[in-house]
Formats: sequence, structure tokens, C-alpha cells
Amino acid sequence: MKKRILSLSFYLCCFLILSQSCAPVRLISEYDETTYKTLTSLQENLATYFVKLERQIGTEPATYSHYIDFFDKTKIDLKILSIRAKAIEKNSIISDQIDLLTSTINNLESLHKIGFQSPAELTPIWSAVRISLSSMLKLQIALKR
Amino acid sequence: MATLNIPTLLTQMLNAAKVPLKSHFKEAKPFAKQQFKELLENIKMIAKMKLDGTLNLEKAKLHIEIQKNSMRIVLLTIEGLGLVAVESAINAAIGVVKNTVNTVIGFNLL
Repeated sequence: MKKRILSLSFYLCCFLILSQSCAPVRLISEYDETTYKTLTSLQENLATYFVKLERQIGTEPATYSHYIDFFDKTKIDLKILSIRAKAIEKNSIISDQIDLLTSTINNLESLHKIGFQSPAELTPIWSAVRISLSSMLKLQIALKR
Repeated sequence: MATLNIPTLLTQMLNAAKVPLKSHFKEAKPFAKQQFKELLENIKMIAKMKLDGTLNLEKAKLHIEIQKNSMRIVLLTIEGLGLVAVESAINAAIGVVKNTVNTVIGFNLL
């Protein structure tokens, strides 16, 4: 009787192991609609920021005090996105990307506080921001597998 | 005045990225090349603005940090795309095992 129970347990274990090992393997998180939508929204808001600022440089409306709300909102969106990213399993790559983007926004804010002398200063920044966001969106789309 | 040689730097960057990315580098290379090239052009622009006095040292450092962050984000995307590719290969292999076992047994055990 004992032998029979042991034998059945053994086969049950083998079945469980095999069935688990035949479940799809996940090395990275799934696509997240909220992350995708937030990144798209950030892309739109940042594009608007650069277009407006480029036109205003050299005038009073270009000063940092007129953009405090923009930076507050952008940083809030990134904080919420970061919390969400850290809560999702196997999401460390996206979480790291959000941290890097946050660092970029903080650096941009510091530059804006100092002040921009000419629209040419904005060109490399917008290029880097655009590359960052499109890279992050590219990965999100790939996660739709 | 020394200038940044973009093609040389681009080749060096791609060669450096090749080692950790290994087998996924072939697929990732066109994407990496395009992004790195633009980021290197940005760095060249920043260097020029520093030299002509448009940027002081503090601002130039902030600008460079932004470019570095962007490069890291691109590399993370490439890493992520590589994981998706590996995952796909593993699951395809598991799928073959599953089909083979089910065929041999005669019903869908797995």
C-alpha cells in the first residue's frame, strides 16, 4: 500500500513538473497599456513644451517660473509610472528606463532654471528626449507578443 | 582644435555593444546604429556650443547627462528586445516538446 502511494505521488510530481515546464516562459514583463498610454502622453506634452519654449526664448514667458506647473505635472506622471513599474513582475528594464527618463527631466529642469540663450540649445535635448521615448515605446510594442 | 570623429566613435560604440548583446546584436544593430549616430551628433553640437561660449561648464555637463541617459535607455530597449527574442525561442522549443509528448501519448497530456 505504502509503495503504491509513493509510486502515485512520484507520477503526480512528474506530471506537475512537466505541466509547469510546458507553461510559457516569461523572461520579461507583459505589455502594459497604462505604461504605453502614459509614455505617449509624456511624448505629446514634451513635444508641446519644446515647440512653445523655442518660440519664447529670449522673452519673459520663457522663464522657468512660467513652466513650474509643466515640470510638476511631468514629474508626478513619472513618479506614478515608476511606482507602477516596480510593482509589475520582471519589469526591471522598464523600471530602469523610467528612472533614467526622470533623471533627464530633472536635468532639463535644472537647465531651464539657469535659462536658455538660444533655440539651438534645445535641439540636442529634444533629440535625446525623443530618442528616449521612442525607444521605450518600441520596447512596449514588442512586449505585445 | 580637435573634432569629434562621429563615424569612428559610432563604430567603437557598436563594437562595445556587440559583446554583451551577443547573438541579438545582428537584429539590434540597425536600431542601435541610428540612435547612437544621432546621440553622437548631439554630443558634437554640445561640444561646439561649449567651445563657442553658448554653454558654460555647468550647462554642458547637464546636457551630456541627458545624452548619456538616452544612450542607456536605448541599450535597455535592445536588452529587452533580446529577452523577448530568447523567450520566443524557448517557448517555441517547449511547444515542440509539448506536441511530441501529446502525439506519442495520443492525447493532450501537456
